[in-house]
Amino acid sequence: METMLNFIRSYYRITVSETDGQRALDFLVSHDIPFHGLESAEGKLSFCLLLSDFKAYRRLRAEKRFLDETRELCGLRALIRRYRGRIGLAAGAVMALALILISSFFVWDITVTGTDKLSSDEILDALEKNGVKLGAYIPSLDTEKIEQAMILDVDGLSWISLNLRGTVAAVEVRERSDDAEKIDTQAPSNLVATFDGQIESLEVMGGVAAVSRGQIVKKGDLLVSGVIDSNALGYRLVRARGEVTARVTLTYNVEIPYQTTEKVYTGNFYKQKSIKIFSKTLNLFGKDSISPENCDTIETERRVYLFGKIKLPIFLQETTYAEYEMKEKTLTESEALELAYEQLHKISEEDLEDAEILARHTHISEGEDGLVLHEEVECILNIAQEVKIDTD
Amino acid sequence: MKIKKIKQVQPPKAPVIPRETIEIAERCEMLVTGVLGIDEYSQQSIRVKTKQGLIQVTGRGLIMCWAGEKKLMFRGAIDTVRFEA
Repeated sequence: METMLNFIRSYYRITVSETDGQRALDFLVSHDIPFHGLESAEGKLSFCLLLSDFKAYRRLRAEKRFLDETRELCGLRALIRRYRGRIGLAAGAVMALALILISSFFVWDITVTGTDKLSSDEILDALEKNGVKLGAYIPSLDTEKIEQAMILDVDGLSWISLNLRGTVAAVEVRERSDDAEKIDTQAPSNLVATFDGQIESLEVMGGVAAVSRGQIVKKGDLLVSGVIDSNALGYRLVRARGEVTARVTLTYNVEIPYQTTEKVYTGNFYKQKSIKIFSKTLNLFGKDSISPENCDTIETERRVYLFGKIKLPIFLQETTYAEYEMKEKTLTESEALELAYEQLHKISEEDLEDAEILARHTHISEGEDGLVLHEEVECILNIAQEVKIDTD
Repeated sequence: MKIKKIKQVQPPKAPVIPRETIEIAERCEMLVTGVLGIDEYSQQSIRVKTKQGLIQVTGRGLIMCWAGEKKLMFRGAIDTVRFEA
């Protein structure tokens, strides 16, 4: 600490020959001139005087010097004197210091932890809507308000914590579990049929069954009623709950034309590079040979690290435009059939997810223009759907 | 009526030589007050002038620091302290 203070105050280091060392020290002590840093080496004695004490020393010595006396200015003043011609150096140092101080008021990085089903991008997009993004002004962020807003904005979020640690916004989330789905157990409802079919089994946990095993029902028919009529209490409304399985036949039709258009890439690419600092993007260069109208855009972003470890709020972005054109294509029969099965699988997947499939009857009809895939699926599935009773 | 103020003349300030005192701490630090000058200086022997006479300090690795008006601090391994008239 004392060394630093002396450096800032600046001092003179006076070196004399060792033979005259005693006389120099005697002079200092007898005139009460404070000195420090006394050193003796290689036949020389040196000591330091602060600037004000050096003035007194020089005045008292009346420009007479001891044997081999040298005087050297040290400290901050010497440094300034040495570099006084290099204004750019000083200006650069001041600017760098100012930039470091100013940049500490902005968010450099956002980290998200605790996500499982929700993606980090979803969280980051929602944060950006609430003002938390790279380059955000830290003093303006009200973390409590943002946390409350995030719970309302992001579906599936149970808890969120936003901590500002220096220039890093650390976000920790907890997702809502599927078991915690809110069920209104008080609202009265009926169970109705979602498909035509023959009732296989009934499992009623609330309400009154309106059908019986073996009965044929149509789509929309009442299966379990939420209206209970009793002689003692009159009628009352309850929530109908249960499972009603039925044998149903589901029908699916898929048409695939032979003539189709497909996207074919021409092989021409157009790249545009840019730098993003915080959230400001600066385009570097790019050619205008290809119009981006018939192009697919591929964007890559790479973050810049200092010494490979320190994250900077600087990103190198590269946007690649791949030109394509739409071409007519004629599908072969096998291609059309493969496509038909793919589409059939997509449309029937949800219906048949929990179904017990008994039989599948597939019929393919080929025409001049295309192919039609017709499938009938016999299965047993739960056809009960809860419909709320309007009490208004 | 004018009141004439008499300017008070301050006597010249004479340097006050403090009383000579010696404080030694654990044979490695010594403070001497009332020092008037240096008679000899080396890392093995330092001789200082005081009002009462000379004080010689011998030892190893002796260094000297200014410790205030007419005060000097010696640091190092002190072997002997001798008073000379």
